[in-house]
Amino acid sequence: MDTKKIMATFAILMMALGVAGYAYAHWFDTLYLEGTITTGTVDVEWSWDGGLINGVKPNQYVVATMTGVITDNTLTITISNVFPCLEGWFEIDVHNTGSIPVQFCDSVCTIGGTDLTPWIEYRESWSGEGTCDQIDPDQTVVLDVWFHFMQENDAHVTMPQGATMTFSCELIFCNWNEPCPD
Amino acid sequence: MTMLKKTKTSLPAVLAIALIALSIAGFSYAHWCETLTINGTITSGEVKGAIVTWFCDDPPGRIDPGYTKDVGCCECWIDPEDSHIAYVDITNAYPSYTTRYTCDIENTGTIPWFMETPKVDGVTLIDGVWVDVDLDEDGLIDANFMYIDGETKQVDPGGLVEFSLRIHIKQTATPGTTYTFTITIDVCQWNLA
Repeated sequence: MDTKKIMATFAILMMALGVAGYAYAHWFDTLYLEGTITTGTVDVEWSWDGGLINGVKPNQYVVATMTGVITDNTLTITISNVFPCLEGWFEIDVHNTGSIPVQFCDSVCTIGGTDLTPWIEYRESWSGEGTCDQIDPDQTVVLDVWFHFMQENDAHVTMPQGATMTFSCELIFCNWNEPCPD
Repeated sequence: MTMLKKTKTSLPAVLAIALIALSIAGFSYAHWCETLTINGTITSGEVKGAIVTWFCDDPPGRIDPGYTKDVGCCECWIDPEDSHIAYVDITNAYPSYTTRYTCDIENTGTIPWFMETPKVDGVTLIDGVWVDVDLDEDGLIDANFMYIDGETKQVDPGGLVEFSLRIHIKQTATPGTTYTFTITIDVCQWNLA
């Protein structure tokens, strides 16, 4: 009886080793595809190109002034001593310093102080070409902004005097192949 | 007297028995015989593959697939020293940039084999399905991979198996970053499919 048990155990062990050997010892060869992906960069810088107020260069007109100062990625525009019917425009150069074409995707603006926007009308235009005003690497496009302060707003309220409005706008540029913004 | 008679009778009998026994033994040991010998040689075969074709659809200077500009590009080459290894460099990639690759593997061994499912950094691909891969293990998907055809196709010695691979860059990839990956392709002996 003991002999039979030993023989059975031995047989099972041999079968298990055989199965394991079959599973692990099959013949194979391995091939390798070694890959590297280097992503590009989206980087945009801008510069203040000046502007005009009522056809006169800023700071040459005795009443209103306009200045633009760039710190890092922030352009601070100050228009002082404005009055009804004042109009002008300014230019901003936007330069693609990255390696991927970009497009203007979105803007987020916040306003502080006295909200003068009901008395301001403006238009903007880009010199960029192609779908969504794309800017290729090393290319510079010009953003023109025209503005006009109205005497009265739509509710016939006169523009307030001695008021100060601050505003902050983030211009968001994204990779060129995203869907165009509305 | 009786004893002497018995002795005389016993000696020849013992001798006779001894002679008979010796003759039987002699027959056993000295019979004529001939031995046949089989000399055998077993040469095992080889399971071996080699990458013989490896190219992509956006070499430098070509408009990006599906787009209108030449922004990114890919370059492919097979290791000149070891055809088990091929390389691909994708440069200036951006979200949604997609490239296609064609790969031919030749059976350079002597045993038929079949190609197993490729793995990207240990992640098993699925035929015809995009599979996300976090290449830098930061918890964000950097690219996804799809391969088409090739799986379980049995290839005889001298034959080829072709499969297609696609790589797509995800939105969550980081700009200005270099990712590396390894795709392993096992070819296994044909009768273990």
